[in-house]
Amino acid sequence: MAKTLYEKIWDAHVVKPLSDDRAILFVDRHLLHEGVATYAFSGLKAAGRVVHRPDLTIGVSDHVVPTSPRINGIRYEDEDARRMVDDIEHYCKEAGIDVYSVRDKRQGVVHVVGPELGFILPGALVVCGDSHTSTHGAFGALAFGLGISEVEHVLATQTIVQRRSKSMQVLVKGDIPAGATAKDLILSILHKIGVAGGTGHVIEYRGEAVKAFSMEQRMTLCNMSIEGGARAGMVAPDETTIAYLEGRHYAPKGELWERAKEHWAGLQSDPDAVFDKTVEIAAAEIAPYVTWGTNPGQSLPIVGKVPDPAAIEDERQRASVQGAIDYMGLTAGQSLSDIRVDHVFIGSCTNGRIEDLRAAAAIARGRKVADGTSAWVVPGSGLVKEQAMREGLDRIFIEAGFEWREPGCSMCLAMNGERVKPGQRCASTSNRNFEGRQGRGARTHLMSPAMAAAAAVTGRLTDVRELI
Amino acid sequence: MEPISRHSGIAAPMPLSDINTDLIYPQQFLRKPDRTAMGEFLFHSLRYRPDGTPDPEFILNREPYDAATILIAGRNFGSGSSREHAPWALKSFGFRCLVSSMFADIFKANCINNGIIPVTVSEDALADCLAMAGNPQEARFAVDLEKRELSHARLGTLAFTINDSERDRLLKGNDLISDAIAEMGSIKVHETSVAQDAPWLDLGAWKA
Repeated sequence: MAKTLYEKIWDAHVVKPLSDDRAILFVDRHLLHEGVATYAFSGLKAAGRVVHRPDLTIGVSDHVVPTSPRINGIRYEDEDARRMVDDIEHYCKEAGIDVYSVRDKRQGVVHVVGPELGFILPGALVVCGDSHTSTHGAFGALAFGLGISEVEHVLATQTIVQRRSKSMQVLVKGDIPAGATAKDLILSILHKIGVAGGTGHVIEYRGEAVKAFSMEQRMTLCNMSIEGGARAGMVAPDETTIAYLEGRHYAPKGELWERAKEHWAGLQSDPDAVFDKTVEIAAAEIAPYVTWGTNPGQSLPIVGKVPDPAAIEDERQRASVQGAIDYMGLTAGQSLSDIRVDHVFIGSCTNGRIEDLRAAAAIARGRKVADGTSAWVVPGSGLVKEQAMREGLDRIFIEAGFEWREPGCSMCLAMNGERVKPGQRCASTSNRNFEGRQGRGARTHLMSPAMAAAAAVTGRLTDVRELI
Repeated sequence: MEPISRHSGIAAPMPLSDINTDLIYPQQFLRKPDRTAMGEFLFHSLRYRPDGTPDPEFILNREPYDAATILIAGRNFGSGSSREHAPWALKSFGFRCLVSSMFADIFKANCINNGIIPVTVSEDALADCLAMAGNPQEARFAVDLEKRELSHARLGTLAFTINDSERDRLLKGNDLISDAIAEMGSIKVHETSVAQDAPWLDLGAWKA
């Protein structure tokens, strides 16, 4: 019977089928960060259990790590933050798990570090105690986020119990126009399907535009699958995937590499595979997008206007839009490009990779951050930072008045204490614009790195195409 | 995990849709070590004013809802992050049942792993429940997990949906990790087949 890519990977990982369309699945790759390691290891210890397969987990510090200069030591937000970093280092070493923490130059955001080290391979089942684990589907892996109890389950058994999801294909037809990116595509998809449109489903992104994407762009796309409620998002592996992986730290070498490549060639949905749901997107219509509201589905092309709640018939929908407008301090009908920003954040597991920094630097080059606006660039990892510095991107940003910082999750979720102040407005390349996400009362507008850089130099939400 | 089969108590209505885990448990408290004390920070930005005093308007700051053990919330409750702090905080506050027309996937799994019953009802039933719970005199509901029934003095008995496996797990309160460890034989069989058929995945075998 014809199978989707998701079904193929699922079937290859069933250790034992269970009732209700569930199974015990084997986990090939497990990523740990300090925000869950503390709790998961203490639970594991309390139950007298040990890590079953330390070779299949890597640990990374990112969520609570400050991104201020580290030359004179690291100044954590509080003792709890320091303890989380100490814990992941200690427990991983004790269990024999490779750990990339603050003293390692490869440290960074877990979803940047994993792929960069070649830890994520096509066909693998990948989990992490973080919802943006969906990022790794970009490699043709089945990758999804877990809660902390489930992380403990993975550490103890290298397995996880899951219920089979439905399948959904997002078919992106045609080419994405200049000035638009994978971020604009996913924001437009979320606008179309809504924040629960993918619930219960695993999405496979297909079509010419997706095929033409680099690995970085595919990661941006898959990263935000969870914002549509999907369990995972994935892109079938191809030459782009293989070229990215070759030679990386955990990628197979020599004869193993050749065997793996042969196997990966068959990793795609069969031509006659049936998806439970199909969403078609005309790539030609993708323009630079921004969010105006308090969830990632509340997004519009930058040329648009803040919606008018009075024009919405459904009462609950109207109340929700009005609530978002009030929280965001906007006016119905206001042009999106008239919205002034106080702060700009370029970074995160969504858009903190080298291509993202290149795109932002191309706009920042020779320009200045607007008066009254502050702007941060937080590289996704130490290796991204190093590469960017080799290319001179740090100089471009610094000369333009951006702050060039150390790697970490930083202002994406503000768990390390780096927040946007109450009432302030941030143009952000991260993934969530929820109320309070970047700090209590903070107002977040999501967009691509180039759009964020454009907002930095003009001091307002700006159509980047005007600056190209 | 404590088994749970029946529960009755005061239900607090929160009609908002898409209530996400950041709203349930905000980032500034994600480093707190004690999961049983997280109820204090539940819905923090809604419950407390910027000066730290409780907002008397917020539902959980009002009688009888300050003693609520059932939460009735709009569609797509628990969307967003995987932070298990959200169900920990709900449980620590005293919630044992959540009623909505749809729950986000990871959040629902986290609830079940913490002995909180996710009660899924139709949009119409949800609207009725929200309306009833809004009246402090009519806010008492009962949940019978075995029968998959939600009952209320005036609404009568409403059927709700929950998968057999999810229901069984809540009823038994069994430890999933112990169950999986009991399958270690099958796990090892799988590991052997990976080593043979997809050795590039078997890191320990070739990665120094």
